[in-house]
Amino acid sequence: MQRGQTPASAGARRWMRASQIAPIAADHIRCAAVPQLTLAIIEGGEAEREFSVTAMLVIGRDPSVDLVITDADVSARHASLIPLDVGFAIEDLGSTNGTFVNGRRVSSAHEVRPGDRIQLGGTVLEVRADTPHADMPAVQVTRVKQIPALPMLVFLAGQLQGTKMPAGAPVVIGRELGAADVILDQDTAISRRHAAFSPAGGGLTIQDMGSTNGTLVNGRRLAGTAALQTGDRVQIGDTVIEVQLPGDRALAPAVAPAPAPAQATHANNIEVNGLVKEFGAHRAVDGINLLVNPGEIYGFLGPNGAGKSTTVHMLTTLLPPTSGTALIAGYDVARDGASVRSTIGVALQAAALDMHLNAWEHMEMQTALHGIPKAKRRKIAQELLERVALTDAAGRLVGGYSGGMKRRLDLALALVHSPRVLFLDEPTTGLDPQSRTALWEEVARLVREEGMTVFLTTQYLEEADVMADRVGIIDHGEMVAEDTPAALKAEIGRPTVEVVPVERSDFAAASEVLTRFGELASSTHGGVAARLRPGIDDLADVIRALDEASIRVTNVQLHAPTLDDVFLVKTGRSLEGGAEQDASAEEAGVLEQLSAGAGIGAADASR
Amino acid sequence: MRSLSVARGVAYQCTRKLIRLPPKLLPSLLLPLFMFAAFGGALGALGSTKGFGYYSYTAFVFVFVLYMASMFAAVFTTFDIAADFEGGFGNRMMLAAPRRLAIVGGYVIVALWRGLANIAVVFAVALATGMSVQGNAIDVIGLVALALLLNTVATLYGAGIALRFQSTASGVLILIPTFMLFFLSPIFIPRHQLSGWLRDAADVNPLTPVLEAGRGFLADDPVKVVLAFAALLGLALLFSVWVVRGMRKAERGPGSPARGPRARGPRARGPRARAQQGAEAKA
Amino acid sequence: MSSSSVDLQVRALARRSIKRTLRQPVLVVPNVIFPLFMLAVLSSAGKEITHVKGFPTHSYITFIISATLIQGAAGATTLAGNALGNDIETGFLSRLALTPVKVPALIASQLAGVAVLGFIQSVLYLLVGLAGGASIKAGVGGALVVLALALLAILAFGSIGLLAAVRTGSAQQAQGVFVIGLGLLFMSSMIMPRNLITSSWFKEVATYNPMSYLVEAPRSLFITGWNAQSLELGAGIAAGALIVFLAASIASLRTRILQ
Repeated sequence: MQRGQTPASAGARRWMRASQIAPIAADHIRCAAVPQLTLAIIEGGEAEREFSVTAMLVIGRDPSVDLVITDADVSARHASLIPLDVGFAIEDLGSTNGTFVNGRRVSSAHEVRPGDRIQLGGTVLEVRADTPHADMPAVQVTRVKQIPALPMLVFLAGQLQGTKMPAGAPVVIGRELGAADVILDQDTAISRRHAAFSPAGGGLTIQDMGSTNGTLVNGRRLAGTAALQTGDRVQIGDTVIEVQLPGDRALAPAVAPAPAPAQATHANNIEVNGLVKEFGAHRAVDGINLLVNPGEIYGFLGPNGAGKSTTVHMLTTLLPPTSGTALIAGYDVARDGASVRSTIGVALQAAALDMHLNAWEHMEMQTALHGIPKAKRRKIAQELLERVALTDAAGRLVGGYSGGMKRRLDLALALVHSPRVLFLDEPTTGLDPQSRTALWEEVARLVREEGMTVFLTTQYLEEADVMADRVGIIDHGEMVAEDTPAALKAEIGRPTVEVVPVERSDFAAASEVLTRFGELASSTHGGVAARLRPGIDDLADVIRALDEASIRVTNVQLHAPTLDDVFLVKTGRSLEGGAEQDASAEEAGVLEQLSAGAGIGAADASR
Repeated sequence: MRSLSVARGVAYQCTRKLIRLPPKLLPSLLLPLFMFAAFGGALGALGSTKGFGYYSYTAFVFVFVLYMASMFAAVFTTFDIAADFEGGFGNRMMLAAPRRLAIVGGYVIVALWRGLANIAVVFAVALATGMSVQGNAIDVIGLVALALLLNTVATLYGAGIALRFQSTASGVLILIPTFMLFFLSPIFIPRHQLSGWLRDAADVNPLTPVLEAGRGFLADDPVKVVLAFAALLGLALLFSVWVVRGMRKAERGPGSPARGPRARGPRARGPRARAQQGAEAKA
Repeated sequence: MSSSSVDLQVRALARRSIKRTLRQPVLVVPNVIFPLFMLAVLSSAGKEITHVKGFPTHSYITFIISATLIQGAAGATTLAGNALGNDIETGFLSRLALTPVKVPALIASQLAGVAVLGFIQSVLYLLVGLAGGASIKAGVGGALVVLALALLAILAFGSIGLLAAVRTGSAQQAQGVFVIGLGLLFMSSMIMPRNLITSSWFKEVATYNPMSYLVEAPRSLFITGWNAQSLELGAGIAAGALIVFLAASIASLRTRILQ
């Protein structure tokens, strides 16, 4: 058997390994010395046709192929049946809509057996007995069997736009060849194994497989597994898939609806381009660009004075940008402020609460400000206060609340109008660990269950590391890094070893030893540190080397890169511990004098 | 409708606080009452001087006190605007309101009901001290209408200051000019008895015809009514523009130029560029 | 703790208080300008009042200048109250409380700023008044005593502002006390001598109003010369108010800090 030229494949279909097949002449269907099988068309316009196949067979829509199927979803040269030593194999020839065997898309030659169903577009063929009935003509009308149709996945947008695919077996969608059944490798927002469709009792389920950016079902982020109905739309990255279940196939056109004008886009994303804010001669934000995907938690890091709060103020329409653009859910902050405000919820750094009102009164006011009808206000207030565990304290004046309670109330107030994008400006600053954890959990729940996009500014690296899907670091008004926490740390890459020699005189020798393992770095414990070269991640070699050099040490530490390390590399200084004092320099001086005047010590208890 | 909702929300917040802290209502009421007692008590003899020409010195002073009570209700309401914005609460309102001027509307509502309350108290005190009212119900309504218009004018002026400065320290910039407006008008002797620069100032002071119209209502002898209402409506219009510009300033944030092209210029080398340069130099 | 340490503490805080006070033109300017404005208005409008039989002087500005001084002093309520109220609201007071500084020093030093400003504005009012036609019967010595009385009144009013700030914890509410002080000033013998007030109830109120004596003490130096009784009463009331309100402020602040 000769193999011909690989058919040209569209750029989007790299998952297919089209083998090289020579075109087969129509009269070579029957071949005496090869196995035989019977192929019956059981679904589609060509139903009730049965064929006996004894040789290589090309199936397609083009009249020149061996088996012509006049189905608009079948490609001109769609697939071929290849005889093997025993039996046959089906191979896709680079078709638009793919070739499926028992619902699973085939990417290479796939052996078929009696009972297997091969789907090409809307046409389903069943493999029958290996040996045809002796009296069976080449073409025989058979009874159309009542075979249950398969759930269909219709790709409305994205890399496979226009494709229709049956899902008779589990189908994994992902970005990586070999890890997924359907490869969408042009979309970086898709994880290597992103989500899986699975048939279940005549229907279909979808499961997110721990993707970074999540799977949306009808706009809501999926948690765990969900059953799908006809018409449900699943979004994976930029790809939108509509589900059609058997029996009520809506036959929606396999094209995406006409794109809506940009201003009317309602995805919960944040797009910032060249954003600048100047206060007189001072440029607080210096041309930043960032993109926050829908349903993402974006951590915005930077020390005090970096421009975080200024950026948040601009994105939430509290400050107009000097130049640049920012779109929140498609609305321009400079031109569509009112629309932006109706879309966002904001909990600012200073909890904007009135000490003389209680939580109910705050809720009443906030719901009124957002135009919520009077009849619904109480219910919304009750639900939200319960959600943030403030129902018991709701009747007390806010002036008597703890910091954590104030923050929770602030969060509840930010949610009264069901925003799609939530801005949290250092929400846990000053909170105790328990309150902090509670807030994190609530934010995670909002993203998980309500598909909210969250823009979170924080000085706490741990918070960003735990919560954020992606992190952007700003310093002196400029973006210095942006990626997932893992990727940022991986970029820095290497762990750092730190040793503290016993003798001061051994520092130089210790430095020399460590330079053999990596480049010297700054030490935080008054010793000597080195960032280990790739491939070196074991302390044993380092300790052995120190021992051989007769260097005694009091402390040896190995630590993995942190976001602070990222910041250090990107800006030359540490993020943590860089917070400025709250008091002005002058007031700090006064305090210092007062403390020094009578000796540093505890406050005088005899006042 | 949404703007009305915003105004109501703001008014609700202010009102709840005042109900919870009734002493906050006192300063705006006590000072006018002190003035009433002081001028009425200390200067009562002036009512008997030749050329005074009004039916009662107490009633003469009462009109100015009534106006002061109404205006101070507004002034102290605008102190709350400054406090709300200084404390960050203003951000909550700015974030929620599609049209931010509706926020000012809420404070106008509160100032008006506080003004009405002050007017009622001052009237009650004056009547209790034996002041007589020669005008009829229509005259009294006219007097109260002038007082409430003054209240709105004061709210708009004070709101403009509060939005610009967003600081409680700016309260003096609201209170002092209000005082000055009164003391540059014929508050304890008629205009024709003033002399020198004070007479000149009173002649051009828009409060003067308002005072004279109010005294006319009280004496059942309306004078300069049209001029008084026109002056107040004109002031209301002027300070409406003032408050709109104040809100724009508040939206622009601190340190922004009031007008003119956005600052452009060569982009300074940022720290990242410097850090990269440093790293390159080290490599 | 040594006396030199206490001295150091007070000086550090006093310096801060002075700088803070003088660096706030929004507060300072109106406090200085408004009494001058009232002086101008009242001295112009009050010409008719001097025609009342028995009025002690033909120059109303000579009569009213002392009220201007006291009115200026009353502004110290706002300045001191605003400063301490802000320190409480921002938490700076809590930081101060953690230092070894004693509460009396902390409180007393808050008055340094208003004292300096108040003295400057009192000198200004005196000069303006004299330039405007006021005369001082007690001469240069009397002028110095006028300034001393004004300073005493400033400290007394300042301590009222401090107490208001400590009790309310709010700069805004502390400022509200000024309004009451101004009202009380008008309820005194500020614009008419007590013996010429025709309204009996008002006369009674003015008689019992300590503001009347604060005004009459410096006024006696302008109009009648040296009047020991007036001076003793005025100085005594100012000093007494200073002691009482300062002590109350200290006690209240101790309670606040311990809380």
